[in-house]
Amino acid sequence: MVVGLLIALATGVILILFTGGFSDILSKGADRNACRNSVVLKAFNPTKIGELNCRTNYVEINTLDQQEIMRKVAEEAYWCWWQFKEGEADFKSLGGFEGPVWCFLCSDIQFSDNVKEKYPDGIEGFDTFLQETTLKPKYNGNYADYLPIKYLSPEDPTYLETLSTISTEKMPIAFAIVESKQFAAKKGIAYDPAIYTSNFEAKHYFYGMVYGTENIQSMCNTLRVGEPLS
Amino acid sequence: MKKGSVILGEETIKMLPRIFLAGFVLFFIFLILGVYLARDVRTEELEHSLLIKRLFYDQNCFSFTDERSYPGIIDLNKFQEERLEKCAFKEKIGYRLDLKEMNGDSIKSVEVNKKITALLDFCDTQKKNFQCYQDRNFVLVEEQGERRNALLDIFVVIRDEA
Repeated sequence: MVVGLLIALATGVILILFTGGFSDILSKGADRNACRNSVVLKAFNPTKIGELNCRTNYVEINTLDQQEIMRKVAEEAYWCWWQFKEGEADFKSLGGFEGPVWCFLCSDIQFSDNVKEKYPDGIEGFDTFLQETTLKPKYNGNYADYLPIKYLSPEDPTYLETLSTISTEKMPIAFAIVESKQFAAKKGIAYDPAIYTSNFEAKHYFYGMVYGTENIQSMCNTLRVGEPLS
Repeated sequence: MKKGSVILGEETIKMLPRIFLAGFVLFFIFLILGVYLARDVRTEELEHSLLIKRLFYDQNCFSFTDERSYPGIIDLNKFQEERLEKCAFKEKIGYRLDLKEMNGDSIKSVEVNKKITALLDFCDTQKKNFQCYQDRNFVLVEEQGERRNALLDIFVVIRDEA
């Protein structure tokens, strides 16, 4: 009898502790899936039905743990790239595309005052984190293998720079589509890793990610935001 | 052949152009109605203006009140985020109010619906699905029974309907 009561109590506590977080993950997952499905329907379905149904995730990071901060930012970037089908969809047919650079704000990451105070100059070593942290089981490789994190260097277009710092002031993340003729001029966009090793001229559009307020301000001619992720 | 059936046959043939004409007219009526009903009505400007009026005129917002409300006078005790969230909140609207001394020094700043005001950084983007507005108002600030001149900068972001 007593054991039964204890088990019931423990179950209740576990449910109360985890249900909120679990349902949160589920609902966010549903929204992201809905976005990816809408992208696929719009791009691959011959009838081009539906509208783009993507949301913007507004996140505030409170933790002071550097690894945890980097993990959260990397996860937001992962979901952004994932929900836009890793840039494989034909976005020319998505509608609402107004070049030369169309962006969708996937996440608007802000940091609490504690984080800003502890890391006033931002968090260095994000590139190392992305190269060393596995994305399994979601992807067979590291974050760096999956995500666009390399920029054309403003000084030397033959050299690729890697996203290395997280600005604790604010770290918005956007998905970007660039008309091919603008490719060389847009150096604040981290392009799809495959682009750097493929034939540029055969492509009409390039896909990538834009990290940080300044890059979004200077790169995106069209910026769309979604309703807040539930 | 009976006479009646001949008349009926003639009338049917005469009806064809009339039916065609009526169909043509109906098509255009529905077309015009459809265009009218499906038009894009932009209400952001109106919503912005209503928000400003609400902030200034509603005694539940920040206006100083004794027996009546004084729209141009800001009660500093009422100039709080929690209060303004209750007084003027809409999911797709965010606003930041910067209350400043006449020399530009900040008195107090409040932000309502930070998920939307986060977009203030991107207001200069050429094309976007949210609208930004900025107003500056000369006001009086009521603090501990004393009034002084001040400036109120209002930044509003309104996300377009999907």
